[in-house]
Amino acid sequence: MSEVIVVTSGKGGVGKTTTAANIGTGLAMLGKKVAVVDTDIGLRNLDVVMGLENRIVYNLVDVIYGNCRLKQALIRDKRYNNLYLLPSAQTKDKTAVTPEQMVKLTEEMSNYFEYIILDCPAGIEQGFKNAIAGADRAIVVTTPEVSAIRDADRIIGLLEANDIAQIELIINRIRPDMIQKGDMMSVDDVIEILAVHLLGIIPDDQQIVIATNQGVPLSGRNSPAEQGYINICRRITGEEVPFLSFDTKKGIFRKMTELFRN
Amino acid sequence: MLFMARNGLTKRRSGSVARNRLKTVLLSERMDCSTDTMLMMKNDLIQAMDKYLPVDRAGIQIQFQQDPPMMLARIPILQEKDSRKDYVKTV
Repeated sequence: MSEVIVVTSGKGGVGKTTTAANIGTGLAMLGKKVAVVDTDIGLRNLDVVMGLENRIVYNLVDVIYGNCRLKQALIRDKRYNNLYLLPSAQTKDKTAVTPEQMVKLTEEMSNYFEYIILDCPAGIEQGFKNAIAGADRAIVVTTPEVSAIRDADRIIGLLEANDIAQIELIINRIRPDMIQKGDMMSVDDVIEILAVHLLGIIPDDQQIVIATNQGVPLSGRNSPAEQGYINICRRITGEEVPFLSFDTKKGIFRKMTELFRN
Repeated sequence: MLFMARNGLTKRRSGSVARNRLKTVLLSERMDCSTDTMLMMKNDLIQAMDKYLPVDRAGIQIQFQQDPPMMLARIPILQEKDSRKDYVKTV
């Protein structure tokens, strides 16, 4: 059985591509046969996040136009031989592909992979419509900011209107210290506002920047964000995993020093 | 507690400001009804109630629920004899 999951957000810069790369890698670590597909035609990014930019020969548009076979365009990951990337085209634009062609492509890929992760472009235009066309399931990525949540709400509405049965939320870049001070919306606040099932939470973490710089997602740094992604992957496979808790309660010594500092 | 009192009680923290702003804007977007229209609707509701019963305007809460779609208005009514205890009518 195969599942096609689209990673989307509406707003740009909330961590869709990072999430797609980490979920792809995480599922591969769990032994699943996985393909990650960059559907952002004209703005290719997933390849650099995964560190596979030097291996691209053919791309998604080549496969759809019949310039090559699917297997020729798929790039095997450096570290996991059950993880593949289908890169996007850099020279074409979103109108090069139709939703029907994307459905055909994901159906063909379903024969070879257990999970197909589609990295969706920002926005709600053609690129979004293409990306969600073949998806069974959607992961909406947001951050605890008003702009990202507003766009996530809009995207959830559009996904529902397009009959995507399973819609789940990832809240990215959580800052427990700011939530504790009351200067950031909490996970519960966001869930209450969006009224959607929570798939996972990712704390704001410098290690993600470092891993992306190096092109090695989930590189075993044992950082909070990596743990968050691993938990998400286990939940995707149907396992029940408790959510990360941010126990920022301070010891008596810290409390005392803060009191004096204030 | 000292710093809580200094920061927390004097002004609302930005997290709850964000939450309330979002709730209002999403509500009007979901219902395809502008925030002005919603405010007018709220005022009309209060005026209609006020014709018959004294209404505690400060205590009015209007909520919208998504599934099933529903508008819930909590309009506390001031009681003349015992103004501390008020009935709540859900419309």
